[in-house]
Amino acid sequence: MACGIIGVTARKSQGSPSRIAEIVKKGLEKLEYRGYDSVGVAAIYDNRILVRKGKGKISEVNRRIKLDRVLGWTVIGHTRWATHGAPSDINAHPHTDCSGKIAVVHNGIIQNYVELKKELTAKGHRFQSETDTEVLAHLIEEYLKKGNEVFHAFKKALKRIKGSYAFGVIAVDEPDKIFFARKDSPLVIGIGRDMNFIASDIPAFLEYTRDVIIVYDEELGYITPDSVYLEDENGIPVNVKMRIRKIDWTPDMAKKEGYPHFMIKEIHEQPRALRDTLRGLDESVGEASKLILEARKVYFVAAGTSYHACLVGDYLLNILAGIPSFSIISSEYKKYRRSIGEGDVVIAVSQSGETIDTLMAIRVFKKNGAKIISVSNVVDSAIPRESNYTIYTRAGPEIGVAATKTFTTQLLVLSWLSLSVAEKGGKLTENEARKMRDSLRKAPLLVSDILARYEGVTKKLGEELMNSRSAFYLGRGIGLPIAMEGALKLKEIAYIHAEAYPAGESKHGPIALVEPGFPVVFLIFEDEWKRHMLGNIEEMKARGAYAIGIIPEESEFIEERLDKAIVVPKLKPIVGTIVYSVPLQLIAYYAAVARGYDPDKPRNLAKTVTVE
Amino acid sequence: MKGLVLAGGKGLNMQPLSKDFPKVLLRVAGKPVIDYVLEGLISTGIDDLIVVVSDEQVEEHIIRKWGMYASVIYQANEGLEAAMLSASDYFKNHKFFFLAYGDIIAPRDFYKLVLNTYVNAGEHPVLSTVPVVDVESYGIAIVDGNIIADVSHEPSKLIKKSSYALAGAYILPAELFNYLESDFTLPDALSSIVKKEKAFVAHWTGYWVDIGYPWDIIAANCYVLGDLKRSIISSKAQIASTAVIEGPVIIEENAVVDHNAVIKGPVYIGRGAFIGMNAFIRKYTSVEERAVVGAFSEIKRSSLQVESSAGSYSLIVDSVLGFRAVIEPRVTVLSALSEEKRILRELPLQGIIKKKRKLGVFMGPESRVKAGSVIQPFTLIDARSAFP
Repeated sequence: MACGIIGVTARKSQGSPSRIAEIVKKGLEKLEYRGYDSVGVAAIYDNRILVRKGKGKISEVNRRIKLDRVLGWTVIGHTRWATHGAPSDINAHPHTDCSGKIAVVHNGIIQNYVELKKELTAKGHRFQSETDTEVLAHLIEEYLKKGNEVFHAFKKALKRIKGSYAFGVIAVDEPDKIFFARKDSPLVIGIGRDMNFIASDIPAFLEYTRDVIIVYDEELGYITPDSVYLEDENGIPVNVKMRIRKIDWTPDMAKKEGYPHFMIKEIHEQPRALRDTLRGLDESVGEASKLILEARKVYFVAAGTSYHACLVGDYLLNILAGIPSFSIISSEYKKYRRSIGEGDVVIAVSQSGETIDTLMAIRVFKKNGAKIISVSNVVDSAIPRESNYTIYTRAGPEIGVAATKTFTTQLLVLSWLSLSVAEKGGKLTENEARKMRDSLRKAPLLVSDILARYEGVTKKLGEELMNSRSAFYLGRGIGLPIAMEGALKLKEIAYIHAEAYPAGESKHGPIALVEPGFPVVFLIFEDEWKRHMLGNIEEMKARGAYAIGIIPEESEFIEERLDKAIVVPKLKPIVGTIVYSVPLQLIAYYAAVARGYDPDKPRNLAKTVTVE
Repeated sequence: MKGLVLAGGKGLNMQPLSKDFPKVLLRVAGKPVIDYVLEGLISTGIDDLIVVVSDEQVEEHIIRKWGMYASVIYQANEGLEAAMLSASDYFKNHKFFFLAYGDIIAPRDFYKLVLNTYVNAGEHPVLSTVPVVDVESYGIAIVDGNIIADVSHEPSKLIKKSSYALAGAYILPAELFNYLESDFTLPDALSSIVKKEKAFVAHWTGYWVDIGYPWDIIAANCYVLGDLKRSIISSKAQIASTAVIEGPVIIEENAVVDHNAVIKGPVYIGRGAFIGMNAFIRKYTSVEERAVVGAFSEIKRSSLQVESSAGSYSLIVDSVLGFRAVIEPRVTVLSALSEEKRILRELPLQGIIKKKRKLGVFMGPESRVKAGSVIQPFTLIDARSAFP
C-alpha cells in the first residue's frame, strides 16, 4: 500500500500546543504523493488521545476539520491510499484501540488480519473500521492488559503480524514517545532540536532537519523529543549516531518554487538532474560493467516508466555491446523463476527503490544465484540494499506522480553503462566510446535548449490534444521505448487513451483505428530508420491522421509532410532518447492542464507502488 | 504590498476595436478586460492599487467598481515609461511593488503564483513568464532554471533561444523608477534589474491571453468560457419555453431568449441582451450587455460587444463586433483562412479534426455592414464606417 505516515514529538518548550499538528499537516502535504484518498492525525493531550480524520485530499479535509489545530506535543499523521476498506472517514487512519489510549498509523498490508480480528473480537474487542491496521491497536491493548510496558506490548503485537508495514504508534501511558517499526515499507527518522520525527519519506520533515536515519527492514524502536532508540531484527540496540546521514537536498527542493505543479518543476529540473547524475557516473559503473561482461545472460527488470528505461538499456546492450539481453516487467517475474539464476545478471530499475514487484523479483533471482545490479534514485532504499551493486540517479526527490526527471536520468545511467560494457568488451574502440560519452555529457545543455525553445509549441499541442479521445505514438528501434513512455505520460496524467507501436507494426492492425483528426506522434531519430518513417507518416496521413513529429534538423522532406514538427538538432540516438523525452513530457503535462486536471495527482495512481 | 496597474495607452494593434474605445474596457465573457487583472490582484491580497489611465471612461469605471481598492492617476505622456513615472511618487518609499499590465486575461492563480514565488524567493524580483508560440509578438524572457537571465523586447535577437513571453505581472524593486527617471526604457530597466539582482521566474502554464490584437478577444473568450463548469441563469432572464439550452451557459438578468432559439454552451449572454426567434448561438460566443442577435441568425465563436447587433438571417463566425457595431440582415461572414496567410497568434483550434485556421470580421465601434453582404475572411472594418 502506498500510504504516507509521519510522527513528530517535541518538548513543550517548542511553542504552542498546536504547532506540532501544524508541522504534521505540512509533512502530510509533502507525503500526499504517496496516496491521497483520506487523511488523519492523532495527538496526545491532557492524558487523552484526540483523533481527527476524514476522507478526501488533505486541503479539503483540513478545511473541514482543522487537522492543524489539534493540540499536543506528540502527534502522528497519515495520508491514505485505500487497499483494505474503501476510502471513508472511518477507514482513515489513525486507528485506536477500544480504550482510546493507543493510536496507530500504518503503511503496508497485514496479511493475517482476518484471523487476528476474529481472535480479538472473540476476546471482546470492538472494531470500528474495515481496515487491516486497526488490529495492531487492539493487539497492543491486549498485551498492555497483561501488564506489559508499552514498548514490550508493541513488540509482542508485532510478532503476531504477518505482512508489510511501517508503523507509527502513540500511547497515553508514554506521552512523549512514538513507537515505530518497519518491514518492507519505507521509514525514516529525522533528528531535530528538541523535536524528532518519523516519516515515510524525507521531504516530510526536510524543512526542520537534515539529519536522517534510514530505518532498515525489521528494525523497530521509538523516538522521544531528544532521543532515538533503535534495535535490529535480533533485538540488539543499534548505535544510532553511526547511522545518521546528512541529507544535502535543500528544503525548498521539495516545494514548487515558481512553478504551478511539481511535474513542470521537475521537467525543468532535468538539466540539473542530468548534470548531477553525470557527475556521479564515472567511478560507479566500472564494477557493474564487469559483472555484465562476465554474465551468462543479462536481464532487465522494472515496472512502469522504469521499464521503458530498461528497454532502452536493453536495446543499447544488444546494439553496442552485442550482448543479448531481455527486459522483464517485474510483476511478470514468475515466468522466469526457474530460468534466471546462477551466472546471470539482473539489472533492476526503480526510482523509489521500493517498488514491491521489482523487489520480489530480485529476491527470487538472487536466491537462485543471480547477481543484481540496481538503478535507483533513493539511497539506501530496499532494492539497492538487496543488490550486489547499485548505480544511483541523482535526480533529487520527485514529488509529481508521473516520472520525468527520474526517467531521463535512468536513460543516462543505462546508456552510460551500456557504453562502458561495449568498450570493455572490445565492441567499441576507445575513441568511439569517448565520442558517445561526449554526446551524453551534452544532455543537460541539449535538454535546457529544447525546453526553452519548444515549451511554447508543446503547450499549444497539449491544448490541441485536449479534445482527442486517443492517440498513437510510433517509433522504430531506440525510438520505440520513448514512444511507449510518451504514450504512458499522456494516459496517466491527461487521461487520454494512447498506445505506442513499432511504426512498422502499425499497419498490422492499429491503423484500422485511424480516422480524420486522429493524432499520431512520430519519433524520428537521425538513424537508419529515418527514411522508413516517412512511409509510416504517409500511410497515417492518407487516413486523415493529425501527424505530429519530433524530427532531426535537415529533414525537410519529412517536415513538410507533418502537421506539426518539433525540430531538434541532429543527435546521436544514444542522447536523442533523453532529448526526445522532454517534449513528450510537456505535451502530456499541457494536455492535462488544459483539461483541468492536476498533473501531480493523477486519479487511481500512487507514486511508489509498494503493493503487489 | 502596493500594486501598479497599467491601463492607459491607445492599443494600436487592437484597431479597429480600440478606435476611440479604450481597449481595457472591451468585454470578455461579461467583464471588461481590466476587471480580470484587478480581480486577480485583489484576490491575492494586493488591494492598495494605483491604476494609470489615459481615458475618462476607464477612470469612471475604476472609481465606480473598484474605488475601494484602487485610485486612478492620469498618465502624463504617451508610452509605458511615462505611465509608470506618473505613479512613481506612490511607490518610491516601498522596497518592492507589484506591477501588472491591464490587458492580460488569466485565472487568478496566475497572480497567486507570482506572489508565492516572491514569498518563497525571499525579497527578490519576480517576473512571470508563459510559454507561447509566436514569441516575437511579446517581450521575451531568457531563463536559466528558475532564474531570469535576460529580457528583451527586440525579438530578433532571442527568438531562436526562448519561447517564454514576459507575462505582464511582476514584483519589482522600487529602484526601477530610478532607471526610468534616467530615461531607460522599461525593457532596458528590467534587463538592468535582472542582471543586477537575482530575479526569479514565476512560470505560468495555464491559460493566458495578452489582449493585443482584435482576435485575442476571441481566444480569451474561448479560455474563460472553456473554464465554465456549470450554468448560471438569472431568475430575471426571460427564457421562452421552447428555447433549448445545452452545455454550460451564463445568462444574466433581463436577457431575453426568444422561442426556438438554441444555445449550445459554453456561451455568455449579458444583461438585457436579446436572442431572437430561431437564433442559433454556438460554442464560445459572448453576447454582451444589450447586444442583439436577430431571428434566424447563427453565431459561432464570436464576441458581440456592448450594444452591438447582428441582424436576422445572418451567419457570423470567428468575429468581434465592436461597441454599437451593426450587422444588417442577411450577412454572411466567411472565416477559413487560406493556407498561405500568416497571422500572429492564431486562435486555438476547435479540436484538431478540422485543422482550418479561421478569422472572420472585426468591426470598429459604431461601424455597419450593409444588408446582404458577404464578408471575406479576416476583414477589418473601421470605426463609424460602413461596409461595403
